[in-house]
Amino acid sequence: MIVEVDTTSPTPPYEQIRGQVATMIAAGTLPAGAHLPPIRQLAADLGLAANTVARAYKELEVEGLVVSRVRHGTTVTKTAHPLPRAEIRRRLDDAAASYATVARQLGVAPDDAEAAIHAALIAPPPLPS
Amino acid sequence: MRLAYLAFFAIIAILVIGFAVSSVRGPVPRARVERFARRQRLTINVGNGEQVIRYLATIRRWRAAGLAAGILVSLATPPPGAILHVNFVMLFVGWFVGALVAEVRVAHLAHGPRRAASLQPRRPSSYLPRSAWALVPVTAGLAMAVGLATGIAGALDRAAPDWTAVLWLVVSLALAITVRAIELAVLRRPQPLAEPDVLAADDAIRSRSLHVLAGGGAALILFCVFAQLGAVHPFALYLVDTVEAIRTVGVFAAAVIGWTVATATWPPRPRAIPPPGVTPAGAQ
Repeated sequence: MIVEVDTTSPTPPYEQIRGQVATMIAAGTLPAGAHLPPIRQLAADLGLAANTVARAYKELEVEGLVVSRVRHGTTVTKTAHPLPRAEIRRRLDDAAASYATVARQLGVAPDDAEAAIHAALIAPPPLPS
Repeated sequence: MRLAYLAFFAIIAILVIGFAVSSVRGPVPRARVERFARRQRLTINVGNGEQVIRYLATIRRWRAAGLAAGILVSLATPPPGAILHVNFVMLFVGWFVGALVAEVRVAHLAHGPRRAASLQPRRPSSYLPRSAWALVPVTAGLAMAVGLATGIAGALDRAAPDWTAVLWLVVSLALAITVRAIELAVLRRPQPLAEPDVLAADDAIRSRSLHVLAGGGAALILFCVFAQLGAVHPFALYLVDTVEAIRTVGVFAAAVIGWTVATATWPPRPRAIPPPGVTPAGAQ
């Protein structure tokens, strides 16, 4: 599971982290009981202030998606219900429609657009560049 | 006589510093890189070779500087009556202090404008055996137990406290706290997302650092414990021979334990570089 932060985005970094983790929990990628990394580890890995990650974790805790306990760290709660398959499908279709729109606007042939998607899916996760 | 000793010390100091400087100049020997790769079961390639060599150069520089400082301190503080004296524990202390500084100075992977990281917590058990991770607190506990035992014995004997034993206890605990803090810093060293071979090298570096800190730290704390035992109160005169035997054997045992842990191969089974798109095991 990878979390990515775009420091040039108008969305605050804590909100980016919160959104991505919430999506992973909703999709079941992060199952109930899964441990999240310590705040300081994730902050160091992302090159962010610890307070930024702490705020993201706090928001997730308020939403009831994670629970933080001293000496146990932060874990995904058992009450976090994964999204239904239909909802996952709907979100995927929305994302595909957005991508198709961009591909059409750029004048990219369907085969090339498909190849780009395929390459993105099997490629290593995004790297710092 | 004093002037002659100073001149002699200056010559030795120049030789030691010259040796230290010459030993860290130039490229890191290929054999050293191969030894690192063998101990960490790491495949060195064009993607991670420079990263490993940079790490080995950093630790070589600081450990050599520490060793040279240890030799100089040892030579500068001879026991009464001795002219040329080398204290091997002092050499080890110098080397280990250099190793501690090196771990603080090791560069971590750079962040780019796009920042990505794994959501897997990094645990000590990913980098060294649980027994090795427990060595520093266990030896610190041993130091406290010995300190407590000697303190109780002294109190029962209504004797004045032995400040030498107290000093060694304080040194042991300070050492344990310092080593543990640096171990945690190594564990938390940033690891932004990178190519699998680069992440594997980063994990190997982290693992080797933790092995050296655990082995060297435990050995040094044990040396302090044996020094504590040396200051054992005269209440136990009938135990003096036993204590001396324990100290003699213990110093060698501590050195062997430290060396064994510091040079142990990790992971126990060959490391597999995951296919693209999968976070490597070490990053978990």
